[in-house]
Amino acid sequence: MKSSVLAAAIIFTSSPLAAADCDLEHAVYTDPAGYTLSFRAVTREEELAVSNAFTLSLPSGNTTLEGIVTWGNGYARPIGRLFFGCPAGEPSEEEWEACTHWRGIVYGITGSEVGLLNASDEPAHDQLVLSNLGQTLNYSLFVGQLTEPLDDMPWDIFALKECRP
Amino acid sequence: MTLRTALAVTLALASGTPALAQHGCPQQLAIYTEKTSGYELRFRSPAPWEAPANVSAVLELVSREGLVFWGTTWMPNGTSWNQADLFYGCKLPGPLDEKTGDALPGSTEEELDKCRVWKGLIYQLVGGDVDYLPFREDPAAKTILLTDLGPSLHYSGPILDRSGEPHDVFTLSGCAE
Repeated sequence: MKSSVLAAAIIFTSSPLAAADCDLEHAVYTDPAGYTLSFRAVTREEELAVSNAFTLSLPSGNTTLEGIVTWGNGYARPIGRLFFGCPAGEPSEEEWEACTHWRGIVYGITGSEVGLLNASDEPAHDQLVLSNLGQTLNYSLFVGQLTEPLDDMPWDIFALKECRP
Repeated sequence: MTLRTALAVTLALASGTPALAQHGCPQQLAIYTEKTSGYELRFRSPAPWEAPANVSAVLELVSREGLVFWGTTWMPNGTSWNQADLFYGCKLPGPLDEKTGDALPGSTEEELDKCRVWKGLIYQLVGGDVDYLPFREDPAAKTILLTDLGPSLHYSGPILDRSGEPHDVFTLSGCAE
């Protein structure tokens, strides 16, 4: 595992795609393990609480986690969350807690600048850092709920792969 | 030399680093600056009585106004990233009592819990990837990310003014003698 990650890291250099020409809500990122992180536009109902919305697909493409980013109440960092297996309708606070499998700060890297994740309608970043994503998912209850085998956890850094129309 | 350190050295050489990194400042003597706030973060090797063996460095974070936080960074067992914490108002054990040869006691666990102002991960950002912090004598990381540092310092009390909190990214700016 360690050597495959290392090998992946070597070829995993900055993307040829121009991040500046792509709004973040159209950006698709990938990691060395083959996970895909796709942003989408924030809906009207979401926009009061949520700054960015995305999905994280497993390498197989068969399973997807839902993600959001919030800035909390005056909190000075974008906080990402990933959900899986949440009940339909309006889950209770406990149910939300139980189906939240990762919570962490999201950083955006543009050129050599490491900053905070941009807003949904601002330019995409070359790379994203999702703090402690792999470790947190590894120790979460998410894996036990999967109906497919999973070889690798996601890495904590993702590179821009494409800009969806 | 492990494959990992070989890679780190190769990347450092390939990316045209300043003289500082070429001379190989060891991680445990590295000094970093956060450019937006001017905060300085100093690494130093822990005295034997200061910290358990898995602690790789004692940290000292100093604001432009002279606020001083200290903490430690360590490598937990397993595959986790480097962890670190910072305290405000607590004290490390020591120095050694000349009569008894024992270290003077520092703050208790309970006191430390109360004055802990940040606990998080330290990533090294290198070659378009995240990596572990180099171990004590290994060449220092050029850029490090202390997750969620700024808001944690603010919400834990010592920094009242929002504009006085640092960003979370520090770049290598010096090497202690």
